[in-house]
Amino acid sequence: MKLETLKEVSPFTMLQLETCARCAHCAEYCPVYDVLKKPQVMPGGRVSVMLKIIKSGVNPWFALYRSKTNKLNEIENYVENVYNCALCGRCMAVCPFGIQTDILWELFRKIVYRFNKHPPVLKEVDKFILSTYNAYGVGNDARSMWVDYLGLDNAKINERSDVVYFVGCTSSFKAVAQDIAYATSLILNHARLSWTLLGEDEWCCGAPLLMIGDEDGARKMAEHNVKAIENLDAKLVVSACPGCARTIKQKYPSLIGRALRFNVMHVMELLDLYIRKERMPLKGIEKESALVTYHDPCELARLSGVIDEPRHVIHAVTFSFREMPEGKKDVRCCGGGGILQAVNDELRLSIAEKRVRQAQALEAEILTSACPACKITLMDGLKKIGVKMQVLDVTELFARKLGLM
Amino acid sequence: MDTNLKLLMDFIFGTLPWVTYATFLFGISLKLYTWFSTSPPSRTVPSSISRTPISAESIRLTIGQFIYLLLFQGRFIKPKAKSFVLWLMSFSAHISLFLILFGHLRPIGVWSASWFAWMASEQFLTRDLPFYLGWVVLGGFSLLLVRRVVDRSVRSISGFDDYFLLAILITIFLAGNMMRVSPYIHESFALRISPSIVMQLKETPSLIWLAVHGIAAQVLIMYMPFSKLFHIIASPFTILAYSIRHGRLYGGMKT
Ligand code: HEM
Ligand code: SF4
Ligand code: SF4
Repeated sequence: MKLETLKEVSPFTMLQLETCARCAHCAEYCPVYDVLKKPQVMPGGRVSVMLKIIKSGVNPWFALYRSKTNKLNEIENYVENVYNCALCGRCMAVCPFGIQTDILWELFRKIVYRFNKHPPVLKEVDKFILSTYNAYGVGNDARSMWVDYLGLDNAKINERSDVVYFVGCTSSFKAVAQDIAYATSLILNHARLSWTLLGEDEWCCGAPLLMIGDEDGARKMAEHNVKAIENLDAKLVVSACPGCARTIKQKYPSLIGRALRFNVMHVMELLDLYIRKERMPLKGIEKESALVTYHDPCELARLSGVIDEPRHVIHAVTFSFREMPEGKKDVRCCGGGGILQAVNDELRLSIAEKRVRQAQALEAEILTSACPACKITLMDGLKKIGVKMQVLDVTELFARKLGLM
Repeated sequence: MDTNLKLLMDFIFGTLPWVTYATFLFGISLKLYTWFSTSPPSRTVPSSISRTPISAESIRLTIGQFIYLLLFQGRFIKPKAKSFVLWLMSFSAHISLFLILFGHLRPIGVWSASWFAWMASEQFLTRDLPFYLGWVVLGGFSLLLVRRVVDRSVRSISGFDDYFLLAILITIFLAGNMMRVSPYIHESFALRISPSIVMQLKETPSLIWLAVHGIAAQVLIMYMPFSKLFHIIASPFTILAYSIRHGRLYGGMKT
């Protein structure tokens, strides 16, 4: 294989790969390794393979670096493991060298994608996202159907506003997650914000494409969404999906090659800010008395640093709260990340099972989170072990306690 | 000193160092060459993280995270027993190792024991302390070796490189301490380790162990650029990069 096929690999990537001391500290924390117990999926093991594959493609005439195996073969044999990862970033948080594995794993997927070796199911997903502009492969004109279906009054769609509410594919199309979209809308109304939906003009944020490895596809989504948002002169984009918020905020600038003309917040940040500034009327609410716990979404807590905000919001509307073990920055992934559902659903459910058992051990009555993918995964995990526990997004809990829904 | 021994010492500390330097430099150059031939630097587009203005909060978080990682605290993120044991072994081994490396600079004349006279006697600082620290390093890295063999997860990703390095390191420290255990000759000794650097020792150590120490240490230096020992050079950079990202993410990027 020729060198130019690896041009995504920067010297800093190489520096990070070559720093791994194979101490296997990450093995203790990786939720995927915890289930599969294969060295190929241990973060330290992934680093070794990635390094081998990259080196075999670089300067083939350098005997010292030449690897006997053919790179394509290696990639082929290894693909399954590349996608057996929740992209939760926990390995980065525990690595003594702070190796930024989340970026490495995405890069690895980009390389696999470039060789067209990604699994068939992801080829399908890639194709339909690029043609339907959403992650569920249905007509994108159905994106705002939940507005009528759930009876949200006077919702603005694609109108000039200060704030754009970027709903995200999961909350738009998946029935159990549509309540999150509804709750978020009611909260934005209650805060008297001037806000709008993008409707059909909201395309997939591109996160699933990046997880597949299709950077060009993600760029197409980014360019469209940025244009749609900036056309409305919005100053702020709010999302209740940590994946969308993080992709727009952290990845769009490098995808489109310039800074954004608007700010991006997860709805938990906005809510916390409004509560602290006393701009969110809380009078006369009846606080929740059931025992509540909170699962930090990886993308929100570890990968975006939004950790205290959701807790402040929960405390505003509940009496009794108990922390989950392995939470906050060190949160144990629920399994909902990394497009695992498409690639290896069994793995996703096994990871989810471990997480919900922790909530069960707390004797929590309401398990909250702040991410549509987490909500679905936690519900699936509970179903798997046959435990009845209420799973709510913090927006739903908040809207209910405020009597909005 | 008998002539054969003298010839051997001349080879180890006179000739071999040139090979060591050359191999080390060659290894590093090869590495850099490989890295830079993977990608044209112009492709690097600044991400929003690197565009975030630096605030006082993000600087505070960056420095905090840097110190935290330097103390190997990253592995202490959660009080898991296994993490703690690993931290104890690797932290004590590494910190002692750094102190010993620092100690090697004294006979070269970089610092003098009198600077630290307020702490302890010269005898303690230059003879006893390094000796004890040597055992800590030996103990620490030996335990890491045991862990590598015994723990299923670690063993599954270990290869020749991992075991070889630990073996070399253990050899260096074993020989280093044996120089002090075996009888001294109470005569001063000047060890020329390169044309311009001379180590002035007060007493002559066991020369056989000194030879082993010198060879093993140079093998380690030669091997460094080709192995995971490269983390010695690279880790400050990866740790700094992560700390800056962490500082911005948790500080500057939030509104
Ligand atoms: C900022 C500097 C350094 C940091 C943060 C660092 C950190 C680490 C860590 C986290 C490990 C993994 C331990 C394990 O296997 O569990 C390690 C291994 C090791 N380090 Fe360092 N190190 C540094 C400098 C050095 C130096 C200067 C040397 C020697 C001259 C050294 C020699 C070794 C060796 C031989 C191992 C292998 C241990 C093993 O495989 O179990 N390190 N280091
Ligand atoms: S914790 Fe970091 S250095 Fe250790 S094996 Fe994992 S990735 Fe490598
Ligand atoms: S990102 Fe998460 S799932 Fe993937 S290797 Fe790291 S710890 Fe494991």
